[in-house]
Amino acid sequence: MTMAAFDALYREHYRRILGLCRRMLGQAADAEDATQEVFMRGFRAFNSYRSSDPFGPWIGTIATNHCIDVLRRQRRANDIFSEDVDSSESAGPLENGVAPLIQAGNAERINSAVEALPEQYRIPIVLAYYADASYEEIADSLGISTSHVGVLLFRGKKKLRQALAETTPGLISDTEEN
Amino acid sequence: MTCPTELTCSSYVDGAVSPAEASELSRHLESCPNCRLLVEHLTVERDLLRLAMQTATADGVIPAFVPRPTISRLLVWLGWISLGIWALSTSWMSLASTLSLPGWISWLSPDALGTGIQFFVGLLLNVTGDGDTFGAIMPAARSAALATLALLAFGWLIRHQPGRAATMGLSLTVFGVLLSAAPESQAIEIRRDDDRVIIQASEVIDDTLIILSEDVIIDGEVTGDVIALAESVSIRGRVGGLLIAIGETVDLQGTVAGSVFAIGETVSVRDAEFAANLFGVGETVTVNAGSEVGGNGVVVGQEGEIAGQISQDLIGVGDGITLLGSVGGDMKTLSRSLELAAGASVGGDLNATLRKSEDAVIAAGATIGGETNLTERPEEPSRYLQFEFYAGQIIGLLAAFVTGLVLFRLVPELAAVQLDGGTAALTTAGIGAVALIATPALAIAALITLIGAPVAILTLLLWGACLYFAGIVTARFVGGLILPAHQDRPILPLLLGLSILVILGNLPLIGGPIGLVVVIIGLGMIVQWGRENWGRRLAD
Repeated sequence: MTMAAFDALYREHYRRILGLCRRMLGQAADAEDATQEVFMRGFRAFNSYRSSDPFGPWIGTIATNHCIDVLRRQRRANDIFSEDVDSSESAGPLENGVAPLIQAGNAERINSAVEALPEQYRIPIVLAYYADASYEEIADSLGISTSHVGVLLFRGKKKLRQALAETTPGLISDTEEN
Repeated sequence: MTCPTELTCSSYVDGAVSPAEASELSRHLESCPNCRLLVEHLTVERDLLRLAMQTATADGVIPAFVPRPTISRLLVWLGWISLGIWALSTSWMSLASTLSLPGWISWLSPDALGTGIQFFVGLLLNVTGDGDTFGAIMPAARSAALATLALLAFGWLIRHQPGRAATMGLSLTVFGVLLSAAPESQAIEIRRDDDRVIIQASEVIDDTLIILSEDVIIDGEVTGDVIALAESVSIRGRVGGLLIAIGETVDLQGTVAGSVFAIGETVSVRDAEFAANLFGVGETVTVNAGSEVGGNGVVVGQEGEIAGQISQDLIGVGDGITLLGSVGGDMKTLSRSLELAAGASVGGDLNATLRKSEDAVIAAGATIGGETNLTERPEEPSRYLQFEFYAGQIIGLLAAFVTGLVLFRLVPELAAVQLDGGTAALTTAGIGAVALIATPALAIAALITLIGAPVAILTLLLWGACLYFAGIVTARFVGGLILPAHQDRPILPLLLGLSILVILGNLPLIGGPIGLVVVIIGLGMIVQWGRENWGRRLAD
């Protein structure tokens, strides 16, 4: 494998990895620096990459691990996803229904709502719906159980609906009427 | 079943429930419109979320990917730089050094062992310094480069062949224990000091003594052997064993029971008493009137002056050899001029080889017990103008070619050695350099211990053979690079490679360094082959 081969893969996957880093680290973090670091790590580990496997998931795993490392360094990440966070909050019935998200429709607004989510919900959502990771893969990366992944995703989507309902005044009345 | 929780529906939509749970749920959905609606909504939500997140990707300019140098990359660069410094300093030193490094031809001659020893002695001389600043920097730079290469090679071994590295470390430890556990009379005391080491007149050292320092003065007594490496070595006391003194100035005034090997710019023997032989090598070697040598004397130097008494034979090689004292046996000289002063005496024959017999001056008062033979050997023209030179080269080449054919018939793997890329070449060179230097060093150290002697001699013989084979292996490799199509038929690539290397090796000035590189690469290949082969056999 040569530098040229790696550079081609870098150009092909740069934007997706930048998106992943931006979404995982939140707006404040310097996602571009993180992306460079991810590809640097990929470059160093390129010998262990088998060219028969797709490059996207391989570099995606490196990006996920790197972003989690960054978050762990920023604060004690073990607490971020701890299983007893918000344990008092029960998995109750749909409060606003799924309508806010569906009706908001606008990708830009959905994305800014995702980015504004607290880390503990944002990261599982990014991994599940942006990086297309399975519950097992997310559980592995975050060091939690698969059932807790389900709980975090469920609560995260609920917060998302609330956030979107609040920023869309028309929707609140709609949902309240329902 | 009762209606599932929203959490369960969410996991179901994400495909994260067990197959049994999933089939139970889908059966429930058929009969429960509320749950069916919830799942449909959750599915739409999931798809929207996914779509929204996937579409809004950044579309800014992609910055160029500039990899930071990694540590391993830095190490590879360090290796290349060290190799460069080493090659540079070696070339310079082979120009400057009076004891020039091996002419490349010597590996083709059967006395390949001589090449190694010459190289090693050259290295030792360099450690003591040449005097001028540049002369001091170059050997230091070369030693540092070699040490770096050796360290890199050892580091590489630890990283990639931890077993090998552990074995090496273990052997060195066992070796050290053997040295320290040897009988007391065989014990070794090593003294190191940047400035000076003085053994006072009152001091008695009951060991073999190895001294590395700038100045060495021995006024006391050492019952064992003495190896002294310093800018100036001065022995005024007593040495019970043999004495090896290497320095810019070597001044010997004491009593030595064993043989004396003195190498230096000036070697002066004054009122000394040596029970055995004297080997003096230097720009000027003088033995004064009060000195007595019980055995033979060998004097090699630009100027050799012997005023003392040599009980047995004297061999003198140099520009000018002067005898003022007495020689009990025969005297043989090879020099530009020879003088036997009045009062000088030779018990046996005098055999002198000179350019012109007029250059031999034998004073009327000099006595020669046996015959006097003066042989004239006119100055030789440049070797490049001599037929013998080319004949010798061709004979050497053919000998190497035949040896190579036999070698590759016996060990075909050696012909198939490949160097994939610069790192592999560097690794091979590093291993070769370590093998070239470490082997004789260890063998000489082992020679000092009684039990190590046979192993050391065998090792040196094997090492000498490997030095000879190293050039052939490299030649085969070079030939293979030029004629890749002939990989299976060794004759043509071998002959071509040998011819190229013989021509390169005989180039003035750069021939020596090229020869060294050739030997080092070849040696590295042989060591690597041996490692793989024995490794595989051990694994089987």
